[in-house]
Amino acid sequence: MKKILQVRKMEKTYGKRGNITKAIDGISFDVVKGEYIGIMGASGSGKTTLLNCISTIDTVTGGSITINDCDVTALSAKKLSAFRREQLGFIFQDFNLLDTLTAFENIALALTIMKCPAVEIKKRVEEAAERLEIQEVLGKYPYQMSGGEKQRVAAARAIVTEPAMILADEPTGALDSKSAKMMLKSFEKMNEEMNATILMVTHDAFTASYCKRILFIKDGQLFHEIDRGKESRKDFFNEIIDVVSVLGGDNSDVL
Amino acid sequence: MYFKLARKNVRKSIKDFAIYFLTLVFGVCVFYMFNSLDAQQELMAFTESRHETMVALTQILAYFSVFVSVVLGFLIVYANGFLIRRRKQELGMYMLLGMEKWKIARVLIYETLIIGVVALGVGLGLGVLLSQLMSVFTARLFEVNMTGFHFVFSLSGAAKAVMNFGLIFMISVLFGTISISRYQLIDLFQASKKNEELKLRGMKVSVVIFILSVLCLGSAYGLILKNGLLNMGWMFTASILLGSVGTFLFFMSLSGFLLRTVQANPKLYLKNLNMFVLRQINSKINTTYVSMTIVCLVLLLTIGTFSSGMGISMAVSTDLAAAAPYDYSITQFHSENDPEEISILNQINERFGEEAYLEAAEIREYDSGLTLRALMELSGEELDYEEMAEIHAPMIKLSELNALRRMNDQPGIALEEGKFFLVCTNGDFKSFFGNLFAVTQTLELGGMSFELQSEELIQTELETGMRYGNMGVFVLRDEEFPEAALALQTLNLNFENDEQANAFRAGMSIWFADAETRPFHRAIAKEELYEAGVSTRTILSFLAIYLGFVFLITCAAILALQQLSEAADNRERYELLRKIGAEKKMVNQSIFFQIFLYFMMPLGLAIVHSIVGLKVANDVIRLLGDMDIVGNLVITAFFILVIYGGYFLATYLGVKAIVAPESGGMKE
Repeated sequence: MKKILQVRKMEKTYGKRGNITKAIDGISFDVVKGEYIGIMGASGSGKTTLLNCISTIDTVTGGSITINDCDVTALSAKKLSAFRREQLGFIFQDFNLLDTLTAFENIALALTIMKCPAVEIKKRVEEAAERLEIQEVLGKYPYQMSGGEKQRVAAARAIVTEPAMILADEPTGALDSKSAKMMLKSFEKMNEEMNATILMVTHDAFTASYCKRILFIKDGQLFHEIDRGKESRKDFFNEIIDVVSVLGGDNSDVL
Repeated sequence: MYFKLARKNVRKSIKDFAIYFLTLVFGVCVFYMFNSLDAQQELMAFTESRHETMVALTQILAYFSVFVSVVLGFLIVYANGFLIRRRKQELGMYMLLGMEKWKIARVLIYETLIIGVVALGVGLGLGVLLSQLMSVFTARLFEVNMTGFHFVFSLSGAAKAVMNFGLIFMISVLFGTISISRYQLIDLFQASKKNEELKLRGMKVSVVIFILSVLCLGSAYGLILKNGLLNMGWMFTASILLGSVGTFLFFMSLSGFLLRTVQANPKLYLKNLNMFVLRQINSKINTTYVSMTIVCLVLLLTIGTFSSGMGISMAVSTDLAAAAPYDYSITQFHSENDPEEISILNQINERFGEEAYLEAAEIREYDSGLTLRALMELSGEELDYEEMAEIHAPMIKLSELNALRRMNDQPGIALEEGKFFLVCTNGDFKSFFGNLFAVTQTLELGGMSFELQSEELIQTELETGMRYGNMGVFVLRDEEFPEAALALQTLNLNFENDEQANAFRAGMSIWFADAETRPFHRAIAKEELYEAGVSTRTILSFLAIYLGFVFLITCAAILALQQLSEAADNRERYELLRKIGAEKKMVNQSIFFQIFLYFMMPLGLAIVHSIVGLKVANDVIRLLGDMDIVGNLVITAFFILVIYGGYFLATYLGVKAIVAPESGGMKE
């Protein structure tokens, strides 16, 4: 199986000499094509920093990150932009749709930035919309949509460029439970039908239970890793809860 | 403690304040410069009449300064309200921490005070420095010599600036306090979270409104072109109204129309960030079309003020020499019941003696019996001088013309038997007679038929003070001169030196007051004409520059403030664009294009308006003399380019610094 992402001894520190905070302290892991991987951890564990570094929005202070055989820690700013638009798809907690653009235009934006020919754009946007079942909101503006619809439009924007990997940061964080479930079903579908590689950061056990593999991070280090295997989602959820209760904050000290 | 908070706030938000601050500095600086003329005149050697002009100019500038204060006051109040609205969240935080509203108001008052005092100080300093330079310019316009150069400071100008701007700041603080007292904590705190209610107009409606606006503007242009500028009838009013409404509708629908047009072409619409830029502009213009309209109309006023002010002043100055060929002209009109003919020269000699002047020539104009209407019928060409159609063209004797030409250092002209020629120096009439003589060269003058000797029109001014030149005088041989009624007598005099001229003028002004015995209706000295010209020119130039500058910085500052304050909102949008992989160059281009369009739209329409307006105004100015329209437009364009362009550039750099920091840091 092809390795899409290789993280090797990655480090990220903030602050200057004498007052250094290690946000990430030597994390290594691999993600292969078609994987649906979750990253869990408490607030301040470093999971968002990890995601920002992988998504090339932030830079690492040590180690390497290789995406699709390309070491992103060594790319120039200009190449990084090109890399992001060609290889990565983003889904954010607060949707991050442009409120002045319609759903169609929001999705198309990812393609126009790639300088995709106009004739192709319409076709591809409609394809992505069909997959996420949002054809009927394509003409609407974000303020006319529900939270779930907005997040699915954001997801469509992420997959429309057919990226090597989709990065999702708390995608269900701003959704009610019904919309969240629908969203996660869409992710599952994207993963299974399109063989999309998804890396999702979350602190919510229910959301995480849709993943196939979960990495737990604590204080900037890899703490634990569990694989769903053939388990049902419900059993997997219980397994996650067990790990979280050990991991969870300072509870481990109490135990 | 509140003062400290205010000081820190000002320092922190210096980026947002910079353009506002600079505009205040410019405002104060210009205000001082144009109100400090009293100090500048210390540096110049004035004649008495120039001094009077200076007094008049100072007064006129003082009147207009009230108007300028109102304009700048509007800008400052608007800008302050704008800045307060932008800081809702920060103010909400103060309230959440338990600060009372009046204490928040106090912080804002301190902030305004700090900015105001610093801007006043810097503006006055700059104004004092620049007014030293300006005195050179003033002296040149007045055509007076500088007596010596030393540092000047106008206490009254400075006091006026401090008082005016102090009052404006106070009013703006008052408005700010009122607006704060109205805010509710929940609104303040959720200001940024609140979903922006986008008022999107239906595309079809936009197209209809756009077509309507074009129709309005078209008919406004048509009406004003047909009506002209001097005739204040219903057409004039309708044109102004239609023009304003058309402009308003234009900005209301432009962005929607533009969006619609570009959307129809997917290749263009779905290219790079075009879609994003157009939507951005569309969303903004939908809420700012009122200010767009005002900015556009004020820009029109600026272009109009500046170029026609400059135009008139140049027309006045270039024609001064041509309009005053003789040192003194005395004119007597004759009507039918006043046929007695007394030589003016004889009477002058009787009163002042022959040694009162150097040389003299008298011209008598007789009624040729030909009306302008008759001439127009002959040539088949309609001249736009309806009010003059019944005036009879004059004719004069060759010997008198030649005497006058000798005074002018022009050679004498010989005339064959049965022939005539024409003296004409007015531009419009020169071409009229040129066309007339192409049709016929035989004219009935004083009941007798004469033939044209030469198509060349003789260039001799018959008196001093005819600014438009003379409109055509037929010249006949003395021996063949027909019996005709005397219409007008003119005596032209030249003097040996200034002393003689001044003495004569003094004597004439006493005589002029005595309506019973004086043998003339009009007396003009070259010097007086010159003074009047210099005075008109100086006053117009000063006003054009003063008002033009103030209008321009006001417009540019409003646009800049709107863009800069939007920048904070747009920051997230641009950050998203970069996150999903838009290159910095692409993002910068879209910022540039957005601001460029925002600045260009009102200017563009104002330019179209002013092309029409100047065409009309030009017809009026041309009456005062030929003017160099291209030259004036170039100067105006340069002036606008530097100031408006400067604001545009500053805004672009400011917005770029806010939404796309150079450091490239995209941390949380």
